Amino acid sequence: MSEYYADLRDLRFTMFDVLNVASLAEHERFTHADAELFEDVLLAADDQARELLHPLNETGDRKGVRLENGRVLTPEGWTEAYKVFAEMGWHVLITEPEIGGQGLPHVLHVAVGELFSAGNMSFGFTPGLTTGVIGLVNSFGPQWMKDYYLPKMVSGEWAGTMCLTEPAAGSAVPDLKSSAIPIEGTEDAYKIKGQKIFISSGDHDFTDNIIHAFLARVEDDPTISLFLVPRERPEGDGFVFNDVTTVGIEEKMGIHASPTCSLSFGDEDDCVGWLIGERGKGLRCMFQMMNGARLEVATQAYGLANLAYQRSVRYAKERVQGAAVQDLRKKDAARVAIIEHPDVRRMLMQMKALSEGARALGLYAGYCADRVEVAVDEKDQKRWHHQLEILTPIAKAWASDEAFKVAELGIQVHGGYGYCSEYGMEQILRDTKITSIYEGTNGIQALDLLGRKVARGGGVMMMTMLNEVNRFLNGPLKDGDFAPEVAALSKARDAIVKTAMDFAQRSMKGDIQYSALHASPFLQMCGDLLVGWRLMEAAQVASKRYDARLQKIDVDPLDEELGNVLQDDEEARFLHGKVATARFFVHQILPRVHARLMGIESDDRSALMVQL
Amino acid sequence: MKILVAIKRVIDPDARIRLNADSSGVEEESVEYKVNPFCENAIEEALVLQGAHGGEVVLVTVGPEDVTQTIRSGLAMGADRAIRIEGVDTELDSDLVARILHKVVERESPNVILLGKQAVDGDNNQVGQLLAQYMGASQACFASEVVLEGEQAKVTREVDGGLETISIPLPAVITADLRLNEPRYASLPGIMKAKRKPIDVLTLDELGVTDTALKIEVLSLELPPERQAGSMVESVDDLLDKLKNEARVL
Repeated sequence: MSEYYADLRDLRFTMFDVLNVASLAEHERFTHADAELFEDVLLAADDQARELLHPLNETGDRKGVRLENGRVLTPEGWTEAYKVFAEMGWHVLITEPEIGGQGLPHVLHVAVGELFSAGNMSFGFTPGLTTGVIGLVNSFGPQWMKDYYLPKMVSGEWAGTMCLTEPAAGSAVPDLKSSAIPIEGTEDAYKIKGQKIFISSGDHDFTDNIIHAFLARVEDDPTISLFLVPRERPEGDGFVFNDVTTVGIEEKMGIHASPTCSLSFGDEDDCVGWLIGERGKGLRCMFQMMNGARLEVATQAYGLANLAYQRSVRYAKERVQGAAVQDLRKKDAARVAIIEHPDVRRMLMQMKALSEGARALGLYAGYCADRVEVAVDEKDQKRWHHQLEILTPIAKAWASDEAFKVAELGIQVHGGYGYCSEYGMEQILRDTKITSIYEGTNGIQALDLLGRKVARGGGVMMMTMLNEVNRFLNGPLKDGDFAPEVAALSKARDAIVKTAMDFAQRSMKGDIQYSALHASPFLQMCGDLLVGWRLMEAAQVASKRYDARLQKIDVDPLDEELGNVLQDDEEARFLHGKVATARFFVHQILPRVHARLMGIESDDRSALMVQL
Repeated sequence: MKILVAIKRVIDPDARIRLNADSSGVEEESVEYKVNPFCENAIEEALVLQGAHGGEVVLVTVGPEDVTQTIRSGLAMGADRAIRIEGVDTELDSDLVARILHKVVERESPNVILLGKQAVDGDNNQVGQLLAQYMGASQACFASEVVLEGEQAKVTREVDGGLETISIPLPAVITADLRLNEPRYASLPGIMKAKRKPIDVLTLDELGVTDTALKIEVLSLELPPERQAGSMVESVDDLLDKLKNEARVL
């Protein structure tokens, strides 16, 4: 009963008309990635999300994965679909062409990621993690490792995982206990021992071999190293079991078809791993993978949020209930679809603004990653890299927090039917929740933003980011039709600058705790500002096209029948909707920045003082 | 072995169709096009036959420049090259398409011509049959299995009430039914390669089609009536009465 929907129109508009991603093809790195190719890839992804992934979504949720005789079995049909998906090469879309990838832009990876998440979030883990491990090996692995492992992972024959979390080392990764002991007579082989938990795709029946990127400490090293640990290790002409045992799988709230495994390495003292990168530099290597993965979490989150919106707006147009509020006193007032009720419209607009806002931010972050790669000089490179650094924790945390709220509103719009499983709305809510937790909880993202990004280098990254926003705020829009919105965004920016200065002063006085207490609200404030900015950029483009469109179809913008025109003319409706969405966001959602500022300025330390 | 596959784009079958202002046609602005599903079966079969017998798979379609998108999706599945005949896809009927294809066949001399059995927009189911007539060649429509044996094609056809297997000499026209195969997805490398594959563009003049008169004139189109709300009946007797006297199905 639950259906897949994607908003290709908004994806195209944001990529082509707002970001002008087609201009990336002017750079040698992406000459092959012109607008035509973007379009073809987008359509292919949409087809696969609808036809290959979505039909498996509901059974995946109901049946989930199971552990039998020490191996994880995925639901019926999943292995076959994985093989098709991997053969398509989706997991190597951004991978370098030199090793068999497609070398396409990150922004396109972000765009198709949203579609796959909407189609079937659980399905995306194995390919996504494989992409990450390919990146790690290719960036840091020794040549023999690249030669041996990359072809099998690029072809999709083998899959990857990232093994960080341990029973006593979750958010605090450096507390891990796993160990690696150099094997005498070898250059980079180590005896591996340790317990890892919450390992997504840690075991499954998609592939013959699973390649773990594994963090451990070598002997008494203070710092952590990264290892490649295959489930089956090559020996002689064949393979031997590398002593990686699947101890259990988690019963979870959502993503039931994604195997979340507890793995035990080296129970029989026969687990071998090989060093990736330099000894002691494991966390730094892993962060490369994590940064990409954090953006992917944002796309997962708003992919589901957008799906919730798409289903809800359709349901609201069909579900007839009650009379219009202005007709309530009339006898025999006509029953109307619930979309006519202002409170339902309020919820739908919240959902639309938050999910389109998250998409705009996610695509922009992907675009920044591409601009880093095609930068012409150091200054240009810094301009985009600084933004990407600031955007990564914000996109991850803001999108995942807001997506959960959108999922909740989706249930609300569906009323009792939303609470039932029939329309698939409660599954969206359950699946979405994980996005604020994994790949670094949103609390960790907030500390990352404040401690590693805003505070570093005298705040240079944040200044680069705000410069981009200021360029827009000081642009031509500040005097026209959008003056109130630009003014509101400027006030929000001022609130954020004020907060950042306040934190800086406090930390100079040694008061770290207060800033840490308010790091999450600060991240949310930054997210609101940046999303408002991206939505207004879109509104600026949309508004011009909207005027041109009305002229073309010969309609007066003040026509009393405009509502009917918008209903009939898809293009005008879309563009009008983009402007309305930006205005709604700026006036109905952005003001919460000031409430948060008040909280931070209050100097209230009760959460720190109270004995709970 | 050269296989010519004639393909057609149709408005996304899942999208809501709207009529233009004077109901003379379907509104085409900002619609999404897809390859007609039966044509995808035809492409797939051509690629399967190519895999078994070697040779070349050539796509052909009639349409304006933006139909190139549809062509590329077929090239991305694995076809080798394509021919686009310049034309307006709404100013065609089955007979004109068949005559155009006939000229293409004369130029290309394929061994097998594969088509979808019909397009899901017009549902005409005529082009393959007409083309075979113009070519004076054998035809096998509604194929659910195709086996090439030397200069013969053994084709299993889905006919009323069962299957019919016939053997026809090549060159022949074969039209694909849905159960013929499961069309493959275009892979990413396939999509990237498709951009470099040649697409020849020919005008009707160049092709030698001089008579472009249509034999079918569309007078008007109308949308199906909106579904009416159902009504509850009081008893089984009422239901039987309605089925007998209103619906007249009993």
